[in-house]
Amino acid sequence: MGPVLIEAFRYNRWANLHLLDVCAKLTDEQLRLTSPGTFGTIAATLTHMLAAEQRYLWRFGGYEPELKEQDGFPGVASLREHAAGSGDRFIAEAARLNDGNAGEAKLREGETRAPLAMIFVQALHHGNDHRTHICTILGHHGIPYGDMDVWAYGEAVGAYQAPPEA
Amino acid sequence: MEPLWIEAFRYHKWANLHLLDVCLKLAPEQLHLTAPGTYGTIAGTWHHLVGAEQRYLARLLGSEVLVNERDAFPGLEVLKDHAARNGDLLIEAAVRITPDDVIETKFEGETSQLHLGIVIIQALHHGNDHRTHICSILGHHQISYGDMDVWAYGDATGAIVPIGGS
Repeated sequence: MGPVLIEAFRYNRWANLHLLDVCAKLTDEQLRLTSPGTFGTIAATLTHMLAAEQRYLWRFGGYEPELKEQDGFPGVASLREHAAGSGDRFIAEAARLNDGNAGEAKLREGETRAPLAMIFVQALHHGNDHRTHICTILGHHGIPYGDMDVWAYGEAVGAYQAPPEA
Repeated sequence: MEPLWIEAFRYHKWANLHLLDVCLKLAPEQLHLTAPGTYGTIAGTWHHLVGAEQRYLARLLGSEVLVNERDAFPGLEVLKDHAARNGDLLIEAAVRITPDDVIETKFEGETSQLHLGIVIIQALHHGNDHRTHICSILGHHQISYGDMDVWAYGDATGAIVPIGGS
């Protein structure tokens, strides 16, 4: 394992791709499902979640967002490519800035500023929040989505396992 | 220099206490509300969230587990006290633990080995996941819960400041 910040973004990438793989098997009609109290449809939530990831990355500099909610849903396969790319970039930024003062970012049309640590934390929170919305919709409609908590991630990457027989 | 991920645990504590304050204003019957696809009732979700945090902390720091979902719901005032203490201990754990340290743990009768880094990231994920469930329930029943993303945390703690401000 790496430092916690880096591992948290590895989990974020893994969970996004897991859920996108689940959603890749849905029909177009199912992608338009929603549930009370969530963000919107599955398609809209996935698009917003990954477009937001790109806007967070933009705040670290040297990256231009390609995905925008107002352009509509580009399809799960396209979103999966974006998720893999933004996931890799977050891991790289976390590795670059892990230990120490990462500097500041401008927010709200340049009217405010915040430590870059806040961008990392918001990115983790935002992904988690919207994945939960999608899981709520899937659960509401009786569609299984498998284990996708950090224990499942730990098993997938070998950080959580049964000890060898004595 | 403080590692960046400590801020994630400060946010975690703030978000739990913010949402508990919202729920403390609910009538007893509103604590039994739920929404499709979520974990259960508001009361049941809080009981589970705070109990699970103590089980994570027992693995991370060896602290005592005082809240258990199998016991009767202790009320939100009691859970808020536990959440405040859990939050402080998670911040302490985030500073102290070595992610690559391995512990043996029992889950569903089986002994497993897991890295402490997985436990602490699961604590973050789990809290976020169940807070989102509670927000979905509140939203479904038209009960407002205020802004509680990381930008709101930044505003509340003074981490986000006007450009040109101190």
